[in-house]
Amino acid sequence: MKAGLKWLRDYVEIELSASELAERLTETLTETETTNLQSGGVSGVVAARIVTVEKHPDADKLSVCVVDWGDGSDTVVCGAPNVQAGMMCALALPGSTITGGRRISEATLRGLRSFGMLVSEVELGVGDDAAGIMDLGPDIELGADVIGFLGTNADTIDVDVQANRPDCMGVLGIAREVAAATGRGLKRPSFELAESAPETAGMIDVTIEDDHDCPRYIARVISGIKVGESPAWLRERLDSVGVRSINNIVDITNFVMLEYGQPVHAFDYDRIHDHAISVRRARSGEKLVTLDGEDRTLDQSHLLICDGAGPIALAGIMGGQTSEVTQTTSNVLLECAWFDPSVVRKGAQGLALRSDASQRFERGVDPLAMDEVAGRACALMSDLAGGTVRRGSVSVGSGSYEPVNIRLSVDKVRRMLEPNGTRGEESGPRLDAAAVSEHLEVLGFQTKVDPGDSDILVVAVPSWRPDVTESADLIEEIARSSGYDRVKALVPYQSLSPVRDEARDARGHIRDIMVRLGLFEIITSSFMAEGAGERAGVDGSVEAIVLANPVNKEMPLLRTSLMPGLLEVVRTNANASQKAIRVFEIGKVFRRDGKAIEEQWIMAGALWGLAERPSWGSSARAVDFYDAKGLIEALGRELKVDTLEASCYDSAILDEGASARLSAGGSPVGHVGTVSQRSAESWGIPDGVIVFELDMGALSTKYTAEGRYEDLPRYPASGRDLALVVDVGVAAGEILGEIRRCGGELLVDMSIFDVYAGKQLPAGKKSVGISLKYRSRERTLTDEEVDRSHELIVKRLTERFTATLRE
Amino acid sequence: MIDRLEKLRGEARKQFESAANEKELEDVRVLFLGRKSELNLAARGLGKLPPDERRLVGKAVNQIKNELAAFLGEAKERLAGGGGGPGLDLTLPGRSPWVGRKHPITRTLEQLEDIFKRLGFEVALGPHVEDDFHNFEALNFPKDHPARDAHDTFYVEGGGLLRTHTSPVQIRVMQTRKPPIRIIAPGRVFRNETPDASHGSEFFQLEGLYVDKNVSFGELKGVLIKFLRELYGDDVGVRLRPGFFPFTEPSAEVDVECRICHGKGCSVCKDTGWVELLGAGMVDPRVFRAVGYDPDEVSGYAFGLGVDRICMMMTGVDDIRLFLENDLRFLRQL
Ligand SMILES: [Zn+2]
Repeated sequence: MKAGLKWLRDYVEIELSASELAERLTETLTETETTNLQSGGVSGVVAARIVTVEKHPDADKLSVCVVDWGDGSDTVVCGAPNVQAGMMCALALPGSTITGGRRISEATLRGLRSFGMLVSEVELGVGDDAAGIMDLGPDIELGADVIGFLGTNADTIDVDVQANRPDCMGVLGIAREVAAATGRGLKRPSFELAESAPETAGMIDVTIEDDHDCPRYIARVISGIKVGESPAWLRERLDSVGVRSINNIVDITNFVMLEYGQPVHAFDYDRIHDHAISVRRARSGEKLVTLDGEDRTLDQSHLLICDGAGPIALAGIMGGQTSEVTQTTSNVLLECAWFDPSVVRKGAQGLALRSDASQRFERGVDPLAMDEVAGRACALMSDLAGGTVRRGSVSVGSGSYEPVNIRLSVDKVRRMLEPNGTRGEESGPRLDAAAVSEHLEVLGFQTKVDPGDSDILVVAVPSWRPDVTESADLIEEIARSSGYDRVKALVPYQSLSPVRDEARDARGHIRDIMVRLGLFEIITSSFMAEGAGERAGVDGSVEAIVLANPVNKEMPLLRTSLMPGLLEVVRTNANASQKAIRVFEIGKVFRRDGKAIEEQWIMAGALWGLAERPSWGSSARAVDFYDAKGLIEALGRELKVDTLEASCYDSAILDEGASARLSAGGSPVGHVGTVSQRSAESWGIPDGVIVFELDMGALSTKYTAEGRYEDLPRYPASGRDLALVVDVGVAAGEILGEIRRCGGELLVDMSIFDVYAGKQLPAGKKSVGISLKYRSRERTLTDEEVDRSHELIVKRLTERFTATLRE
Repeated sequence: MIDRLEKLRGEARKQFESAANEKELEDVRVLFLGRKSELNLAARGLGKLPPDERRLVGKAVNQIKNELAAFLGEAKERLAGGGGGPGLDLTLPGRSPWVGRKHPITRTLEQLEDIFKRLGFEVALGPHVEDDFHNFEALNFPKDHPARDAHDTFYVEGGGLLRTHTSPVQIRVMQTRKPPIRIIAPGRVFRNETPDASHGSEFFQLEGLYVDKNVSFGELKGVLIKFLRELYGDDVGVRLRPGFFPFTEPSAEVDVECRICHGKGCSVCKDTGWVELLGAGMVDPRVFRAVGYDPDEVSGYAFGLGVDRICMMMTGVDDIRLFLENDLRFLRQL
């Protein structure tokens, strides 16, 4: 909400500059800025009167004007369509500067000399009308500095009015806050209303269908008005808040709305059929052409103002064209009503039509100001448009206002704003009942001490403050009007012992490990395209959650998998010529389960490109399945998850031969695999991307954060290697499992150091090199003891896998 | 042929130099100097060449054989622990392992959480798909009230919505526990806005709540000042000014002195010298009633801040959308 300083001064004395005032209101009310005139650099532009206008002899679109700026007079060639004799305009004399640092000099246009240039708002940097030269109006003196004149006029503050403050949607309401913030009194608008017979009551009929939608409606009639231009003071005030002057009647309705925050509407009385107004809901499909020229189709959510023939206005939102005030209007029907905030809001939202009026009604206008506002508008129409105000008004409905009184404990105010005792320390002067009253009364609250309890103030809330309904609201008024700076900050102290969220700690722990393993954490969007889940390998039976109003129509679902986002990151980074991609995300996936919505934490990751960081000595090997599997195994070791077992895994996106389900303690925790060529193509990613997905819920129940100490081995270990030649179909995991089963207690470690299949072996065979380590906790083992254990294992393996030993 | 041998020398040098252990070195030796090595085959094929060429190639073969032998010797010495001696080019870049990094948003969250944990707050989480009650109604956003305008909401078909702030976690915690409560709720939130450089449709917030007997506005101010000093240093200027949030009363906007111009005014702070960082206030009694607390018995404060925004201020990132794009070049910078 903008408010010109000059306008504010109609109601309150202001000695501060616009920026000082903005700063003060920012401290006591809400964020307030000054709206700067973009006059930087413009100089030497003076006010001049156009004396005569003639066509340029050699150019249709140019005029030759004689201009008078007090100190001199000369001819200027001008191309603007709106130039006319008598107009006060802005003349950029030779030697002056206009916006963009453009220097003006004498020029010759189509053979005629031009002494400077007549300029537009845009060229002055004071507005955005570039269609013609700026009309300064009659109030400026000849030769006056235009920027100086406009600048002082346009000193304006812009108040970020919060959704709960209807009163500040009017200049008067802001003036009240200025008065409170600067310790000045508030002067309410004063006007005298002269009324003449006949009675309004006989001239118009008003009915309200539902008094919930419209608890009160006031209609007044002003006869014999003359539509014309508004006086300078009115245009100037509207101009200072960025509202264009249209004609005196429309300007008056805008002025009154901007003054009080209460919208009023002027209808052409003679265009109202049957002189009957009814306020009712629209019927489905009913139509109305609004003032902005739009043909609107309405439904039951819209509240209408109708006459004998049909809709004439959207109540609280915008008038209709058929009853609009025009140049020929001579009798006005003035509407000043209270419409239900949520009805107006829904209606305006449904039509995407947020008007100045609807923004005020939806906050809830002052229910007790309506008669005054209507009177103010009538008085102005009488004064400025020569109208005769008809006696009385037609007022229907009793309003829905109920006075609010709040019992405020002064002690409670003190405890909230000036605490001491257990936590606080004594802090400066204490708020007492008198101080509390004073803070509230400057804002229009009325207070009196409860005769029965001196701690209690009974506070009457003014009608323009629907946001204040209980003591907490009053405490805010006291806190802000004295300034939050005055509240003493207390040192926080601890009295609670925070509880841990173990699942979350586990996720943090896992995230740390993944980073240690050299992966970058990514965070991707929660949204997903239709069908992306299936394409990413999610089971078809998983039901995704659908957004009713997605911001991106291509991504209407909540993700059922992290994979689509992950693959997109792989795609964009591969396209950005990255040589290696190592990324993971820990995030939520969503699915519908009947009525319920399930949210589950998942980790997904991808490896692609170089296995080693490129360096002068490194190999150019690309990552493969075992890099990813090894990474997950390393994670498993760090989490002290006993063993991660791999088994066959089928997925829509993974390469059949290179994907594995991972289980811990018999229950599945996730999978790892190479994206199949076909899927890679469909996702637009390069070949050879290895991905993994792990269920954080399953994993977090299995891990151990702390290790357990055991005596370090005191006796040396003995190693034995063996190279087992087996059928290529025998899985390494089976061999290791068998060793584990039959190894005996002396076997403490085993690892595979080589797998070979090739020319040196018979077809269909492979050799698996295994290193075994034996140790006793009690003694140094003799070679014989080790050999015995080792041979036992070798025997079991050769039998079980019909294997031979390789030299 | 001579060219081929020259190339062989280059390859061999590289491999001898990079052999990491005895076994690899032996493999490299077999490859380049073994019986079936290219060099050996070339030597054996000399006889088939015309005499002139034979002499020339022969000389080259011998020379390279000697050089390769020298490489082998050097490599053996290197593996035997002779590092640091002559032959080691100390200016060659070393071999680095892969190093990963947490996402900048995660790190900012951790930094914030760390401060609040030291101030006695515990972390609480809630669902991303919320209902109207927890996201709005209980937080004193009446239906069809303009206060909802700032919260462009994603609705879920079949009911529900994506939380527009982390404040519903307050409600969930208060519904299930009795005061005293001191929590922070970090996490992802959603606004149905077309993303631009300063607005994402998904971003991160951190919410704080303290409810106890006789919690005062002074304590809120104290905890916020303490937090901001931990974050930015003891000399940071902090300003509280009136604001409006339906679920707090009184409400405050919290500004910190602009970190770029130190309060003098610059383009980042729009010449005000201040940057808005937090919203805060005393919990509105209507919120307490919605969760079944008695506002005459308890009071509390709540605050919320934008994690992305703090991260942007700390790192100079000027487009919030970069956080969810995950360009590795971007992630490596932060
Ligand atoms: Zn700054």
